[in-house]
Amino acid sequence: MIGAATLGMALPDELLHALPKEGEWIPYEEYWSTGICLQCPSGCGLRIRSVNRWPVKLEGIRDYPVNKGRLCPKGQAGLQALYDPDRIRHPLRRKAKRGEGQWEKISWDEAIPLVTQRLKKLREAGRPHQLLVLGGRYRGHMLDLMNRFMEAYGSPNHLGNPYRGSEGILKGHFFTMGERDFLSIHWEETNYVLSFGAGLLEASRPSMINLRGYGSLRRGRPGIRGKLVQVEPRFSVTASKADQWIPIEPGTDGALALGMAHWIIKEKRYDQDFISRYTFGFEDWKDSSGKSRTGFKTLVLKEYSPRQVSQVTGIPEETIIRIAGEFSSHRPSVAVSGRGVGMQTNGAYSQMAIDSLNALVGSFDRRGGLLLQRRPPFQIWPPVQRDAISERGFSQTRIDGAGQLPFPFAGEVPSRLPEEIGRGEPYPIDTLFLYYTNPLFSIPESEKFRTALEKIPFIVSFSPFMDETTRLADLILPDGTYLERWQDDHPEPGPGFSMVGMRSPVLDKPLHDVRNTGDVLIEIAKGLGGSVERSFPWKDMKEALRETIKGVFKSKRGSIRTKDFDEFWKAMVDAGGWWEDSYPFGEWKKKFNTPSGRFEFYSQTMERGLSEFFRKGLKDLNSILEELKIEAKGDKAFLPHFEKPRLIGEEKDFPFHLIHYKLMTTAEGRGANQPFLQEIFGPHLKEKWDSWVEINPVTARTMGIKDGDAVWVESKIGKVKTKARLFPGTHPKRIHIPYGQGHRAYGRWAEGRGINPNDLLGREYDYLGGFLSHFSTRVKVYKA
Amino acid sequence: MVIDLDRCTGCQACVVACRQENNVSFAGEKEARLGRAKFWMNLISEAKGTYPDVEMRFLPIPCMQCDHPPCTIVCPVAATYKNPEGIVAQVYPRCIGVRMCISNCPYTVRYFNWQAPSWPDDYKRGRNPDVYKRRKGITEKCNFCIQRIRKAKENAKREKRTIRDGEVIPACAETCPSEAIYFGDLNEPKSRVYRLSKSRRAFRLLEYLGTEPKVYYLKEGEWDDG
Repeated sequence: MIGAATLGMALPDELLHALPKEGEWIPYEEYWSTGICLQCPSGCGLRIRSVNRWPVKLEGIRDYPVNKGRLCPKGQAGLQALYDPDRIRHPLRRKAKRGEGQWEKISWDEAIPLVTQRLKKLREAGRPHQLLVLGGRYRGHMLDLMNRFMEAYGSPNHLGNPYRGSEGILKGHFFTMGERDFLSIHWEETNYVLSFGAGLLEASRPSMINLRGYGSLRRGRPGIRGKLVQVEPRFSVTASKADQWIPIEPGTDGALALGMAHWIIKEKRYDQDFISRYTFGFEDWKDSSGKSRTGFKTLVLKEYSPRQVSQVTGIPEETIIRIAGEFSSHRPSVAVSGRGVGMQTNGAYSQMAIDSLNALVGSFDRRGGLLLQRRPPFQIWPPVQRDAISERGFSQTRIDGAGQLPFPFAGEVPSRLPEEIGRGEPYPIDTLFLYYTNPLFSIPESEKFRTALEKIPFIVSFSPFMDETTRLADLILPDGTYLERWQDDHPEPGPGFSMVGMRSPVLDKPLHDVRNTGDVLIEIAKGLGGSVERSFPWKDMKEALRETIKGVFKSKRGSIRTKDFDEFWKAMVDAGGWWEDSYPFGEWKKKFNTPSGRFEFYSQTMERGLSEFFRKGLKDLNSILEELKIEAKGDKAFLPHFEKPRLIGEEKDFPFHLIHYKLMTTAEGRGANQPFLQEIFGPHLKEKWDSWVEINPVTARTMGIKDGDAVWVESKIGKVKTKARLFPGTHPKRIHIPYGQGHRAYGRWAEGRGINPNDLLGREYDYLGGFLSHFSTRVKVYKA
Repeated sequence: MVIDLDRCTGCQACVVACRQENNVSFAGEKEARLGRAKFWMNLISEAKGTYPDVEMRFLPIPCMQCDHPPCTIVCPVAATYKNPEGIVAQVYPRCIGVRMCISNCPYTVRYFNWQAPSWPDDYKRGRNPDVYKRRKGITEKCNFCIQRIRKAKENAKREKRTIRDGEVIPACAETCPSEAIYFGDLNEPKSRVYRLSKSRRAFRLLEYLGTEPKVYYLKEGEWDDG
């Protein structure tokens, strides 16, 4: 916020907008400040150039560990979020029927008491658990703040997972390592990257580290050109830039990993030292009762020879052997995954198999391997104050059934909400908060969700934009954009070593009459009084953040070291954040957070979790596995293995398998309201401002479909009309639709444009992983 | 300018950065469908083959700033010329919109303003005041962010020195996530771009036309730079 205060006396408006004619020079006042991008979850550092008070250009902070001075196209388009003409400019109260779009402007002084009064009554009636919060892109301590609010208020119904759509990967890491974050690649020193459907150059996490990393893999080290191998059914941008593209039968990534593991074990190419010192369950073992148990090695050697795997994956045996050879002999090598793994009914097991590959070559926490994200030394906030009402409310069962069978390991199951809310079981929901989430766009079968929302008497949205779900709200308390508020940001995964970014308002006040939701939440808590108020001993979000950052200051480590905290804070805001200088490799004992303290081929975490249920005398193991739709029995169920993916729709009625994908321009469908991104939407097919369905050219010809023809795509769930594009990177039996278009609201640039693949998808699950598998729907295609 | 295709990921950060820096407005769906979207820095692509033997290529193309530009010689009013620094510049007030330059450019990197810029008022605050206004009915193009070059020259002059290698960075090169774009003085043998332009991987587009482009590409492949 350098110099922002001095710019209070703004220039007249006509001067602000003036551009010089050729040869002319109009004087202006310029200054630079810092911020953190939020166009995707990467969390890149921003240098913001402002002219006469207004931001005019975003660049990267040169030494910021995530992006090192660079930005992706979404980052570059960020000012179009700030200046979006369709932003919500002040609090709004619904006037006519829900969804009719009739609003009246109200002041913040009127609006906040509307929420406080309602929540107060709900609490006094002993029903605080009937508050439901759906949150999305939380960053930094905003998630902690909302969790804190829910605990103090007394509701367990917070669905705030910022990693929605990638839970399969996280669950795999959790079962094998007890790790709850994504891992990033130590690109600077790796020699071989084997990607199982990771959109490393399109939509991955952390996007900028991967783009930058790709450059350094190729030409960062004189004489060494690292290799990239892409395993993916569709020929993506990443596949086109890879050294090899290996097309695979969808949902069989786990089998391929195990086939490679078979060869690596058989040929003794694995890291024997790492396996014996830091892993559990590789060899057969005896449990405490002396019973002999199956190890990873025995299972893999018996069931996953490259020949067996070749039949499942459709990949030739010699290819499997070749990449197994390359992977194990070009160390440091890493195996990474993406949506291809995380969106299938067997996602968690597939990820365990891929993690096992990494364990075999010992690539965790090593130079050129995979990095386990360290957390910053924050000062912990004082404990939450809870009274009898919040104790009772907080201990109610969650409405979405997360943590119960058949979702024993799920933190949340948003896609089950329509039924649960609709039935009003186990209890009705009274009030809903929406924070940075838009389930009517992002969850399949959104019509059911819409119907369920009708049952909720009071809906509050904090969105800066009029998205599909916000349109159904009764009250909107708009937040600003990421350039206008105080908010910290610790990227997970980031560069591995701990770091924290700091957003500060680029303008002396937000562009419109909007407020940081953090501030609003603290104000609501204060209005509720009692223990809820006492849980929030801060004036606003900035003060709460200052308290956490004191821990970083006291650590006396990293990029900023000062004597005095105020000095530290100022330096941190100016620099855009604080970070450590190096990554502590080889801390396996500290980082593997499993019952054995090692990497677990055999997941005792999973075994213990499930045995909770049969210890309670509810069910025996086999019937639990059956309920989770797991075919394996006994020890195999706790080891990485291949489960056949389940699909919705029969092949004879629905001959195509629908797999949607993401483009660089649209990571999560949030950029659709930015014209710069719309106009470069799909470069591989020169598509702009629209979506389409990709069909194999040969298949299309036999169906009489020409490039550009209008077609219907139909599944058991629904049908959509769109444009056919013939793309040779499509398998004859699959079709692909880019994700991100098909908004029914969200401003003039996004609304009514293209199609949303969620309108076709059914709801099938990886029950063990506890998430919806998006790639499980079959469709048919015919000319419109 | 040197663009290393072995680093390029086809992400289009350069495309958006260029538009934001140079106040190049979006065309909108209707105009874009007519091929009227302007990309001073453009990403072109090609996909061919039969599954699973498929190939796809991406190529970022700015103006080649030819040493023998075919566009300048056809302009009837001398609105475009090669300036002393070697940049093919466009003088907007002089342009009368005959579009001869556009049809004579073999790289198709010149763009005609079929419409006045389509900024909604809110976006106008975010325009760069260093870039000249451009009206409907004229031609515009990449000028290697000439406003940045000028600024660097002024700074150097004030500090009584010459411009350092890497001091001037066009918006596309500054943002490129995989560091694929380099910019500098091709006449200075000590500069990075000079060195890279002599690489065995270096080539230029449509070299046989004799246009002498000042944008070099480095092709993908193993280290063989010598």
